[in-house]
Parts: sequence; structure tokens; C-alpha cells
Amino acid sequence: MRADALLLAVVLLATGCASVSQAPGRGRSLSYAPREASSPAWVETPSDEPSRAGDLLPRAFSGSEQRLLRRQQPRDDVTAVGDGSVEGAVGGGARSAASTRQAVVEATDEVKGSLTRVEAAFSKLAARPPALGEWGLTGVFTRYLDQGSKQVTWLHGALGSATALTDAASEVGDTDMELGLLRMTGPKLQAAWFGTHLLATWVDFLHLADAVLRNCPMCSVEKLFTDLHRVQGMMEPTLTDLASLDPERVEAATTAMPELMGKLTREFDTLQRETRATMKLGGQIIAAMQAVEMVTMISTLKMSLPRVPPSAPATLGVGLVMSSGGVMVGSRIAVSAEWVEMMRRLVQAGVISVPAVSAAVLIQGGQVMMAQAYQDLPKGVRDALGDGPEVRGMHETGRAGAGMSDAPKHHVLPQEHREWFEQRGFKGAMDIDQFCVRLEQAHHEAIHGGGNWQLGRMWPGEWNRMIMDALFKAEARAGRMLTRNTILRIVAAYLKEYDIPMNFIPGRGR
Amino acid sequence: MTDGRSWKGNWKARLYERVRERGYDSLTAFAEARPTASLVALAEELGRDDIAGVQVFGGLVAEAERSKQLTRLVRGQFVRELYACLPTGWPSVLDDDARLEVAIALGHWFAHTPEIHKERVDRASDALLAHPPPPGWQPLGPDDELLRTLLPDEEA
Repeated sequence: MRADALLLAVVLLATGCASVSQAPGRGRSLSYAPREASSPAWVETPSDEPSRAGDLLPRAFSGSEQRLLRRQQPRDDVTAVGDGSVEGAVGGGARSAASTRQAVVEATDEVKGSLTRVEAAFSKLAARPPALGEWGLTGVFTRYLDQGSKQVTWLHGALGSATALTDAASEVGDTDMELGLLRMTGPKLQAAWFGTHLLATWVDFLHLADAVLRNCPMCSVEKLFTDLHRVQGMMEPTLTDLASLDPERVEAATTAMPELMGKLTREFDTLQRETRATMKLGGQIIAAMQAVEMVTMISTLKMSLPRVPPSAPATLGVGLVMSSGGVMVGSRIAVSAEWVEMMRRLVQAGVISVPAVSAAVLIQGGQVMMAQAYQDLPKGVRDALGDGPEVRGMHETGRAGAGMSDAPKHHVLPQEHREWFEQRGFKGAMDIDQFCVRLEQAHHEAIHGGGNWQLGRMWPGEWNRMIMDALFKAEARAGRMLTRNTILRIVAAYLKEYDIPMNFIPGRGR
Repeated sequence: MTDGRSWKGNWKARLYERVRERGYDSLTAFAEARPTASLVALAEELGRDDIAGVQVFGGLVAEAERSKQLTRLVRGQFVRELYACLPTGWPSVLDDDARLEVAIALGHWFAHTPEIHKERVDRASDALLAHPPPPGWQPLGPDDELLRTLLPDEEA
């Protein structure tokens, strides 16, 4: 462990030195990242070490000052999630809903921030004029820039939906329904998160390509074009799955992300190594070489890239360890304790799954070069995230473990009244197809047929009739159209009465 | 609320076992001893994780049909709904907000009324809104005087 840390420090030192003079324009300073806990012997490189930890993953994952405050709150105030007894608006349930909402808002904001930075990088790349006698990302390469803007559209859509749901959650006036709505943001948030990260990685490749085109006249443009095409192909299926916003596809794509990031890291490394070799062959001047090297310094992949030289895969074999400051990789903080705390809240409320957070931590920690497709986090880290069987069970879209994942989906709001609900605001991110639940066959039959009461006639408690009677009658008696919030509040009462958990997933309409 | 455990196994047997454990010989007796409790609260008292409110409702309807006490049950349900939606009783001013809460309570009441009584419940609701009860009115059981005039026993 000590040796590993030392090795890491040496490597960081090497790369740190290389980037000192070459990184004036990076502007990626991150105030939050704690200083590297490297040994004092190495302090001769004070330059940009502190910025290292946060540079990785979506800035979504980096912290802000507010989180320090949140961290001091009691750790157990979200444990009542999903607990029916917290019906009253003032109990631990309401507080937990509020803190969950806060975590969702912060996570959304951070992804938005990362996305904004990625967009800025795209426009900057697109705006760079090809210098005289040089190439830039123009001509045939513009398609690779367009690829980025195409993704940006759905990412904004997903974040918009998450925000709409969060807003609705804050107004609904029923704690369980509020948490139910917040859980609906999960897949959207998760998709936007990892989609933004992939896009940031794509920006890295474009930066590298740009540097190659400008500084390596001997490098083959055709080869570069093909390389980028291949990389794009590697990202495409994952991006498509994420863009679907389908909880199961998003979850599968997310858990496979560390592996994909491993492949992309290898591609990046290879591309850079080949470029370097070509440049050496052509006797390129040091400055040009460094221009290409520099791309690595600002890369999203920085933490997982093997260091060159020497080409020792420094992060291999360095485990993730939970400490008071956060999750450590060797002496480096991969994710801050504040970030872990935010994730813990989201995990406990069932917004984000443990495998998704694990994937994020692995990527953040640069643990993507292992051969395994999915590697679980060490127990200490999982404990810090509040992992446990009941938490895993709550996130029913998860592939692993949840027994309900095969049970059929059913609409909570009867489809034959789709239009009625539409007129009352159940549209877009909140249309009635978004409010489906998985029910075991017996449960489903029971709520529609009354189980074995054998009344010999239509059961008075049949679900569709029951809630439509309540809604129609309430509206008629109120003398005005019910709002979406009032409808959700009324429906929440029946979900409790029928013991249907408010774990909504999208289903297909007929 | 649980994760659907209420519907596992023989829940009807479970329901009655719990009722007996608490010293009642019928679900109706258990429920009438808690006249303002909601169905969900009744269910939670019988089984925090494995009894659902609608099961209690189904059981109460079945018992009331057998004993020809359906009207009484319907009145009892009104008490529960009103208590949940208007915890301080009938509003003194029927502004938009208050009217919405009354409307929601009446909606829940109507929904929890067996088919043959729906029309009577509708008429009773009309009467209640046309001639509002005194502010603060809060019936505490199916024998409330005003409630009985709105929905008198019909059964033989």
C-alpha cells in the first residue's frame, strides 16, 4: 500500500511537472478538492496538484461548499423512507423527503454544470479556426463535433424532466408521493450523469485529435478519422441506452460504464502513444510533443490513463479505501466525503442504485483498467453509501437482486382516462405512462377483484373504479378542475390503502 | 406502507386472526371502537406490514352486508373521511381551499360506498353542501344525529 502510494506520487510528480508550463489555459481549477495527501518529500511540485482530484468525472461529482453544511446533519434522518407511518407532514418522513429533494436538486445542478462546461468545450473546438498551413477539426471532422451537439439535446431533455419532477415533488403535499416523484428522477439523473461523462470523454478525444492535426503534420489524417470513428462506435450503444431513459436500459448501461471507460482509456492511450512515436520519427520539436501530451493533463481519463513515461499503470492494484475525507485511491481522494454523503441520501431514498454509484466511484477512482466487467466496491465504501439489502430492494429497476423486476407493470392512473389526466397536467415527464408500478400477479388480481371475498358481485374496492369515483366526485363537488398535485395527493391515499409502493417506472401505453 | 406483503399468503385469515388477538369477534366491532381512524390506520394497527387498508374495507363491507348494517357502515366511513380531510371539523367559511378539502372528503366517501348506496350518498352530499352544518361540526361516529338525518337506516 505504502509502495503503491509512493509510486502514485512519483507518477503524479512526473505528469505534474510536464504540465506546469503547458497548462495556462486549462482554467479547470477546482476549489473543493482537498490537497493531495502526498508526502512532504514531494512538495516541490505544488503547481497544480490540488486540482487533480476533481478533474475526473462529470463535475457533477465534485463538490461545493454547501455540502459541507449538509454533511454535518444527523446521518440517520433518512432511514424512515418508504415508511407508511410518516403520513403526517411533520415527522421524519417530511424531513427526509426534503433532504432527498435537496440532494436531487444538487445532483441535477452539478450535472447541469458539467454539461455546460462540455458544451462550452464543444463550441470552443468548433470555433477554432484552422491556422495557416495547419489542420483543425474542420471538414470531415465536423461530423464528430455534430455528434456532440446531438447528445446535448437529449441530455438537456433528461435534466429538464428531472427538474420538472423535482418541482412537482416539492408541491405535491404528500410525503410518500413526494419521494415517489423524486425516485422517478433517478433514471433521468443517472442517464444525464453518465451521458455527460461520456460526452466529456469524447471532448478529450476531440482535443487530442485537434492537437494531433495541428502539431503532427506527419500523422495520418485518415487514420485519425478512422480512430475517432471507432471510438464513436464504442460509445454509441451506451449513449443510445442512456438516451432511452428507460430505467432498465439506463441501469445496464451504467453498470457497464467502468468497463467501457477502461476500453476508451486504452484507445486514448494508444492514440497518444502512436502519435508520439510518429512525432519522434519525424523529429518533432519538444513544444509540439508537449502540446499533444498536454491533452492528457486535462483529460477526463487522466486518472485511469497509464502514465507515460514510465508507462506504469499506476492505479492498477491501488484499492479504494474509505477515509474520513472521502474515498481514497492511494493517497488521492477520488470522491469527497460530501459527495459520498449526497449519494448516500440518494441511495437510501431509492433515487439512485448502489451499482450506479459504484460505477461512478470506480470511474472516478480510475479503477477501470481491470478486466472485470463489474467490480464491487470494498465494504467500507459500500457501508458509507448506506448499502444494504433493503436499499437494494427499494431500487426495483436494478437488475441484480430485486425479485420484483420481472413482475408485470401496471398503470396507476387508468389508461381509459388518459385524456382526462392529460387535461389536468399529466403530460411529458409526468404523463400517465410514467406512473406504472410492478405488481405480483396475485396483488394485481386482488386490487382489481377483491381477492377471495366472494361477494358474488362486483367488488366495491376495484382499483380503477375506486380512484376514478374519488377523482370525478371530488372534482364535481369542488366545482373546478382538479390540479395535478391534488390528483396525486388523492391517488397517494389509495396507493397507501392498497399497499402499493410508490416506486414508479415508465410503462407502455396502449 | 410496505412492499405488497399485505397480499401474500392467506391475508383474510391473517386479518381475522389479528382481530381476534385484539379481543374482538368481528372486524366491525374492532373498527367501531376506533370510529375516527382511517382505514389505513386500522390496517396498521392490525398488522403494520402485512394488512392493507382496503382489506379492512372489504371485510367491513362483507360483514355489514351479512348483518344488514350497510347504511351504518357508510355513515361510519363518512366519519373517517371527514376526520382525515377536515381534522378541525366542518369549515367555518367555505372558500376555495376549504371547499376543495370538503370535495375531496366527499369524493373519498363516494368511492368507498358500495354501489347500491352511491345514489343516496350523492343526495346526502348535495344536502350537506346546500345546507351546511354548523362550523366545526365533526361527527365522531355513525350515530351522529345530523349524520343520521342525512343518511337514515333503511334496512329492515
